Amino acid sequence: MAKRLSMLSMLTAIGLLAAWLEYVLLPPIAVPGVKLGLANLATVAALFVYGFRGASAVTFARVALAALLFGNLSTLMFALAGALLAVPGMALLKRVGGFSPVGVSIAGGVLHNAGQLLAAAVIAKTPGLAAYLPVLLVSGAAMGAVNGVIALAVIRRFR
Amino acid sequence: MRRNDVFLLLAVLALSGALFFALRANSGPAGIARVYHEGDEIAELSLSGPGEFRWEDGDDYVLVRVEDGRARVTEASCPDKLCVNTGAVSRAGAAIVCLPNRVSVVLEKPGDAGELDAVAF
Repeated sequence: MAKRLSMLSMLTAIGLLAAWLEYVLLPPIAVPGVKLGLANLATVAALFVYGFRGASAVTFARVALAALLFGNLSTLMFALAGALLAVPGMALLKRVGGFSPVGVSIAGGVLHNAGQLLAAAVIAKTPGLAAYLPVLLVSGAAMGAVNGVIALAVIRRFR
Repeated sequence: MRRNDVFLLLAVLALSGALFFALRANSGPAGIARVYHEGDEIAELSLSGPGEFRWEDGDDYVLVRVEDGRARVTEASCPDKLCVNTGAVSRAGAAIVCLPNRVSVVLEKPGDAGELDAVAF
């Protein structure tokens, strides 16, 4: 129990650090919503080591801390919109089986971006934002693959 | 990577490609830019001539400029500046959104009545 708690805390810290590095180092990209999403590697690692509940805890703790430390209400809302789709989706894929952390992470990136775009379209009442969907799906898959490979290395060290 | 991972990746790429061409087939060069605030139209700008529109609410503002068939948000009060960084858009169906201000700019074909033909998600 104590080990589980400390491991989950560490993964939350890793995710928070990754989010912060990205916030500080990477300037916003021209297409809104395209980003590395490095912090998701902590979610993927938590999912494979501690399951859905562990992944949810790590993700929502990180999202809340990141919003408090270097975000605002709107970044919090969009992070939640992405996470609410991505975390259950990744857990479902892992449960179905046959997917490695890389595949699960790809699905996470894609779902995260889809959730954010959907939230943006609803909030701004602009269905035309669907025009960004193809770019965001591909970037979500690419960044998800990168994060999945890193998550794989983290998972190996945890076990 | 397992085999299912590869299938998933290919499925996502195929879906994106199909969406890309489906959305593009429906869109040529735009003729007008409509500016919305919380879904209500607040301005209509012709893309043929230079023009601009400024939305203001207290300290918040969004400045939209149109020129040479393109529209862009040149200034805005939002913290993230995503709308400004989006740059210029010129195709019908394209949109620029400033979420913190709930302002969006949507491009349409010259003859459009203002309703979208289809919405794909």
